[in-house]
Amino acid sequence: MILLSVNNVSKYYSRHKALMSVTLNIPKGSVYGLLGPNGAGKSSLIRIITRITAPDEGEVLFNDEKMTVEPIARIGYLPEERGLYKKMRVDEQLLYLARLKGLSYNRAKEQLTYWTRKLEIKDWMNKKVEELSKGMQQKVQFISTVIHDPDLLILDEPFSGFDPINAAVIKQELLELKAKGKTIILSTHRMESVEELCDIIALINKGKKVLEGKVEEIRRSYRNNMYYVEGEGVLEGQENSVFNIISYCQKEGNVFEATLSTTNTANQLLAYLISKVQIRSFHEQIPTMNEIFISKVKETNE
Amino acid sequence: MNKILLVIQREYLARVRKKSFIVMTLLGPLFFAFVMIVPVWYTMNDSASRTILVHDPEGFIKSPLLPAPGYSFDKLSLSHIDVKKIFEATDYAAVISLSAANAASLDSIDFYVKEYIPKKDILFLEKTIETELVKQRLSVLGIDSSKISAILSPIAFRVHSNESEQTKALSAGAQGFLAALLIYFFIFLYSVQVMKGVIEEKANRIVEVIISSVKPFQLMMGKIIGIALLSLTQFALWLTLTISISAAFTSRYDKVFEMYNNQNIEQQLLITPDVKQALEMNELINIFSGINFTELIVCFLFYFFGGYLLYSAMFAVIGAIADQESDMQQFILPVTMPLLISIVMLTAILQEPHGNMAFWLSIIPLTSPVAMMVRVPFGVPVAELIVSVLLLVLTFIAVTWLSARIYRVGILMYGKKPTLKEVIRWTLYKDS
Repeated sequence: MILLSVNNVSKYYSRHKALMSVTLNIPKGSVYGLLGPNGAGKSSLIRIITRITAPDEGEVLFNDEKMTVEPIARIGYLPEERGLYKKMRVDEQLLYLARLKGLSYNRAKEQLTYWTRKLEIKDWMNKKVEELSKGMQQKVQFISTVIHDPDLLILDEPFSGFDPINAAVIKQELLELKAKGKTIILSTHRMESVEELCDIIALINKGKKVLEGKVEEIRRSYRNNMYYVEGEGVLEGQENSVFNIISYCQKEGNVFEATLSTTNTANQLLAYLISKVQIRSFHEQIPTMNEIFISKVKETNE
Repeated sequence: MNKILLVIQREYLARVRKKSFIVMTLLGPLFFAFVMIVPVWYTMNDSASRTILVHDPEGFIKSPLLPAPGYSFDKLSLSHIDVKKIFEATDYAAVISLSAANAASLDSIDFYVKEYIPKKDILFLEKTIETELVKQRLSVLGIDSSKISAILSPIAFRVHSNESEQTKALSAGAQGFLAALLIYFFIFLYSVQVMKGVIEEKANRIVEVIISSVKPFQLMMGKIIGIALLSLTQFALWLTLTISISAAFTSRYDKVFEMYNNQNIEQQLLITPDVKQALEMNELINIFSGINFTELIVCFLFYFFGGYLLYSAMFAVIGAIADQESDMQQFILPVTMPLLISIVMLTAILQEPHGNMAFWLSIIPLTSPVAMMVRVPFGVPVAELIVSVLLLVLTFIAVTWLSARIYRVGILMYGKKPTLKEVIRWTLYKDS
């Protein structure tokens, strides 16, 4: 079931086209990665989804309905440029932000207690934000995004600016939210978090969607029959019709590491190798999202 | 709508709790009270309490000397003493010596002064003692006391001129000047707070978080209204505090006000040592009671809010497009130019409050808050007031609409200063 669909959205600024007819379908309960280099148009797209700006063409549907004020309250948005009122108390700030999302005072209060307990910042409630450590502030920022229990979370570069410990905490929270059936849009150019968290990704470059699909499927579709092998013996210099050597490294103690490409199956390759060397390790080299990302961006830039 | 209220509440509470607000609120009335009280206090305490010794061995002065304000008299009847020595040995501010065989032969009075005594007081004493001695002489000549009183009954010298009209104009000028300066000052004070608020939100990068929940227009209006309420709170507190401070002061001097008001002034002129001072006091009281405070305050509040709303919307835009304090300055100048012009023209308007320039400045919305306040105490035709007010409201609506369109784009732009062309283009962007 599709929670959010972006249909042929275009956005033009004076000098450049930020988005050109972008279409995305984000299924309910998925973690959707919005990838792309800096300036690709991710933030523009997110601002259109959150109705901060309007598209010049196209439309955004939430639960098959046109985005209005009401669904906005069901979206939690963590912008890339984030911040808090420095001179405001933590609890007042979070209550204010929650109530701006349409929560009643009492409900906001409940949620505040729940989240501050969960992220262990209960004791800091009556401090001003400026008195908090960076890490604490980041937790407050995260709570401000989820305090109104949104169905859709939109996180723009969520891990940038977070220290590794907090990043892990946030990752954990995101997984829990996903388990509860929440939908999450992650915009990032950091591929490691994509592979860990995302089910589906869309790659945007220069205002266009250049790739969309399930992470596993994309990676599989980019497999190019490359295998990694580590073993004892010498592989180099053996002319054969089974594989080509892409990279090779002969190490101490008669050990080698190699990347091979082949037109045969893995079994055929393995059978050949077994007859020649002592195999220690063998696996298919599926391109990482990072590699796919770089090659795809390069390709579309050409 | 509910969201605007939340924004208003936050903007208001965040500022009303600030130390600077509390300090300003407390210091303001002290300043106002100071300004109001000092002139009165000064007039009142001009004559410090002094004791004068009157050496009168022959008893020329029968009735006690009229109690001049601030003076008391001791009498010394011993003859054959050196008055000068007594004067030097004692603390008396002055010693008056009337030594002669009889009233008729008294042709001079010695007046020894130790500390400064105002000239007018010396004149008063001279006049009083002279009158006493004239009485003595007359009675020696056999004229009975009722005739003497008739002869010596005081004659008030009353000047009739256009001075009261002049006084009115002077008073109106002072009111207009003060009101215009205050309105200028307050429009600036609170509009700049709007701008600072916008810059703070932009610098803290919270604006995008907020904008994902409320419309930029709601955020901007919430801020403007919140600060308007703040100003209202401050005015109310200032007024209450100022009135209570002044009341505490005036109750001490109630008698003085009563003494010199229009009903009693003639009575007062007969017995006063200083006619000029009495008239000044009377004039001061008349100016004060002649001010139409209700009209003044209503006009002041209206033009303050009109001007504030107009300028704060523009200041919000400055906050939205300026990324750094340094950019801010160059935007502030053109926006505040009309305000500055109206202040520069203040004296010209005062000289000819119903002249052409005064008229136009008080009709044009950008200058009208200041210019009209100058004119109000002189009496402005209702039709002119209505036109000026209507134009101010219409301009405010137009400017706010335009400001909101620039604001919504500006607050999301970081790092670079837009050109005027870009800003104009922003107003054409599609609404979300």
